[in-house]
Amino acid sequence: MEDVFDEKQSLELIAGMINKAKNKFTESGTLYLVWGIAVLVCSIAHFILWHFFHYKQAHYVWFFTWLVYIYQAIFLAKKKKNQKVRTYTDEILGYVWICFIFCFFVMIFILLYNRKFDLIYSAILVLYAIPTFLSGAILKVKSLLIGGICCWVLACISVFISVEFHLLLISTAVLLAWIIPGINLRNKYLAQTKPAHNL
Amino acid sequence: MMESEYNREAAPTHQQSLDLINEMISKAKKSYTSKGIASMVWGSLITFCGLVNWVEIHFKKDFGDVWLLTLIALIPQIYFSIKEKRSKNFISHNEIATNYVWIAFTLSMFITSFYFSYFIKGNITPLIMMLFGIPTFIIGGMQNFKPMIFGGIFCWVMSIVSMHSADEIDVLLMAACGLFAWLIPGIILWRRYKKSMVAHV
Repeated sequence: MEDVFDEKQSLELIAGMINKAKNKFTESGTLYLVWGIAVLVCSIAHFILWHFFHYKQAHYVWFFTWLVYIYQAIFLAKKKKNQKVRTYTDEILGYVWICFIFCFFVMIFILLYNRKFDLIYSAILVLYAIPTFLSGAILKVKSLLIGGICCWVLACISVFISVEFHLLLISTAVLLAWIIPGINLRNKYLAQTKPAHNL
Repeated sequence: MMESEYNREAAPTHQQSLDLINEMISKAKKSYTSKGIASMVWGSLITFCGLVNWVEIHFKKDFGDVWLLTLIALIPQIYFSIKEKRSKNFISHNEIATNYVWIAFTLSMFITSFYFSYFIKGNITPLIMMLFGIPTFIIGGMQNFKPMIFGGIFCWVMSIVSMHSADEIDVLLMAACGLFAWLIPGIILWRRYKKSMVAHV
């Protein structure tokens, strides 16, 4: 008898499941912050070395991002281990980010192969916008949605300014698209987990 | 009294409630039968434009900018979208996400094709094909529809292949992308929809 659910309880169970799934949407924002800060530091360092010191190998600073890839792999492996349920949203976002990573490398390869160095940063800005905008739409996080739109606007602006300053557009893009939304997500996540810690 | 007795009898058990939820989910999955019309329209259009463009290059003919037809194809797309929206009283999370995917794709296509080709001259076909792969792959993944997932991957492979090929071949590769990423998956979706309609009758 105690297993018998009335209509109200059944609806509560469904609502509970939805809320659980909703809580899963509120991710910690760690990867947005880590990647945002890494790209921000690299792009500014690249710009300073190139613009002020005329250092020809300034692009080597981007090798630093490989450390972030390693961190990301460990982070995601840990997350997967602790994750009890893989929600539909997780699945969609998985496809969005796989798509971004694949396109990013294909695009860099295409542009380098064709020696279209001037296009690289503008194209990167277009690509940054896609997963950011879609993550914002799927997770219903406005700051990500706006961040994505900002990347498209910066991509358009990049056409009118010297390539030398494109790196600063990249810095601005990651600040608006990843770091600020990352902080927002982190705050939401901490606010959500706080009561659980207090218990 | 009678009513409470009835409720107790009709009240589902824990397992029955879970079964009900599962049934609702599977019903929702089955009822979401994307007809594949848009996919077929765009697939056939891209294939057609690619082939006409190839004829133009190969036989040195000029039919004008055939790719402008894609703008005309937006009209039925908008018409059907509005019509479908009016006939429905709900929008699923899946459909909302799909709409955003198309918005993202359209904006990226516009920026890449217009700005890049206008201000910086050069062949941007590999980039266009790479962009074709994005909505195809994501929507394929969202609907768990393998022909579209493969279609997306096909576009990316073609974008890499097109780096080594002449412009004449590039437009044929573009036609192949339209065929494999949208037209064929669209036909499969349409046939599935027709089958499900017959099954419901």
